[in-house]
Amino acid sequence: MNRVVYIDDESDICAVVDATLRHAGIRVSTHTDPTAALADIHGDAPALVLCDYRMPGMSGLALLHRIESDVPFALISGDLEIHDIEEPRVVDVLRKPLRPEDLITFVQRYV
Amino acid sequence: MNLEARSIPTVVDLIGSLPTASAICDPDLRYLAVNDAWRTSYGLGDVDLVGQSHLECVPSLVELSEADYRRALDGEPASGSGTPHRRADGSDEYVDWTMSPWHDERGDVAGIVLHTEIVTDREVMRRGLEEQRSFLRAFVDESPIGLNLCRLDGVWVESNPAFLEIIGYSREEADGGLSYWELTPREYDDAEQEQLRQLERTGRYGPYEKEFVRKDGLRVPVRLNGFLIERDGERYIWSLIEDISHQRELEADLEAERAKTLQTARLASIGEMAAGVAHEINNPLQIIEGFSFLLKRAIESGQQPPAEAIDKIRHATDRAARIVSYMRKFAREPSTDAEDHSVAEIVDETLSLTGERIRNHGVRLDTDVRSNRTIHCSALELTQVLVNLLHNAFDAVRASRGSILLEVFDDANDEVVFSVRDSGPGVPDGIVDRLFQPFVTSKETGTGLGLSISQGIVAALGGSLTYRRDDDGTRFEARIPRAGDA
Repeated sequence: MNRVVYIDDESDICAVVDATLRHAGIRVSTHTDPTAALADIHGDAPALVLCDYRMPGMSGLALLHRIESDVPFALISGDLEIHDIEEPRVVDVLRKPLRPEDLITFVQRYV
Repeated sequence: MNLEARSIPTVVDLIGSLPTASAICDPDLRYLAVNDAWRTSYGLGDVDLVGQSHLECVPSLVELSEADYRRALDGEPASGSGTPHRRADGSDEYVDWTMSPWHDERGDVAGIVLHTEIVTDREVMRRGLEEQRSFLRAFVDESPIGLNLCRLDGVWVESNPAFLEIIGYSREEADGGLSYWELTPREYDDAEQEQLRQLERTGRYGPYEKEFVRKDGLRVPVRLNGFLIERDGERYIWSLIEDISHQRELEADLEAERAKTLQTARLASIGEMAAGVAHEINNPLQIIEGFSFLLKRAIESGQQPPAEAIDKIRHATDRAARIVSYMRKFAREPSTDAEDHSVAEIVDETLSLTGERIRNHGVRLDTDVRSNRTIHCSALELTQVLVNLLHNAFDAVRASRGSILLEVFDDANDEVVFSVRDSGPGVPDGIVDRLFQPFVTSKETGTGLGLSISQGIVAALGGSLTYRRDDDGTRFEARIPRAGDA
């Protein structure tokens, strides 16, 4: 139950997040494919979903809309600014580049 | 027997033989003699008319005033043509008439001799023609289109008010004085020769758009049409001249409106690009940050650092640097200044911006550049088109890990074709027709500006951007004609 699911279309970012969180003793599953991520979330509900905002094929918000549970969901974005996110299910919007220490601190609030 | 008694029958005999209706009157305008034609013409029957008043017998010669008779009685002959005359039955006739004084043996005016001839047929025709002519005149004078007749050497013979209004000269100044050539700016010389050749060949010229220099020195845009006519053995050019200033203003307004829309779209596109660029830079920064963190912690804890970390960091640095270099170029080339760029250069630039991202996601990207042409364009803009097409293709095949093929070749029409083909599902049916309109998108994070901007850029190079779907997949093609070449 104290697992985190992290989704980003860049495999290198997934790799570094995976290593960082694992090292901090946090269980994490990373996905570059949003569809696979959805199956994972529905199969074994995590404590937190962290998801890149701008992804080809399916945006972070689109992915959120397909999540059937009310799992805490945070967006991570490298865009200049994200306007008009009026989605109450988004618990926070984190900005890239994100310091690994800050990521760990943020994630620890949920696990 | 006095002279009078002898002479009168002679005069009566004389007027009796005249083909015209004739009458002789005394100074009080009482008949001394009339001939049969007179009786017939004025329906006077067989009664004896001698001593009867002419004004009472023929009151219907209405336009002959007493002053006319008075002048003749004063010794001055008079005549008239086409004078109306209403018959007793109410029908209208027209007569030509002459009125001369006659003198007695002392030389004094003894009365007048009247000759009239009924000319109704001729007059009706003349009046009809006159009416037709004045109708045509009004047609010409009131025409809102300028009309002008000029000789083959360009000297103006006749201009209507609408034409005079266009050129700002009076009729006196224009007709017979001004020539077509005096009001034609020299830069139209070649075009004028072409129109004259057309006139010689076909008898017509135009529609031809040019300018005239008005009297006030301003230029007025006009559209001309005309044809050759012959009058009294001489050839003339008959021209119809329309003032198209208003139309030009409307066109200018439309163009300004279009430019404004394009500018708005460009700004939106720059905003979109900036967001994209931020994302493109922040991703490698995130990688650098993450791997540095892992390295630092490994070193601090005396562990073996992860072998690939340094490579990943350097790779991410290169990637960010390329984006920055593109941005620098963008800053240096803020306008759309065109320069000569080889096709290979455009493709390289495009791939350096997008190629890696696409391939990183397991999407196969092949390129096949078979054109070695040079295109006179803004590299930034054309690159933007290709990046946009590749991004769209990437978005379409990303989920299925499909493939993209970028081809560049010269086609049979001598156009350079940039073709981007992907194995994705294609554009949804609902938006195919509106694909190139602004703000039309099938993508959740799309602005719907990419293709409309791209089409604007390609169109500015005289080319076209098209979409089609066939057995080979989805295909966008940007065709740039040779006119866009250096």
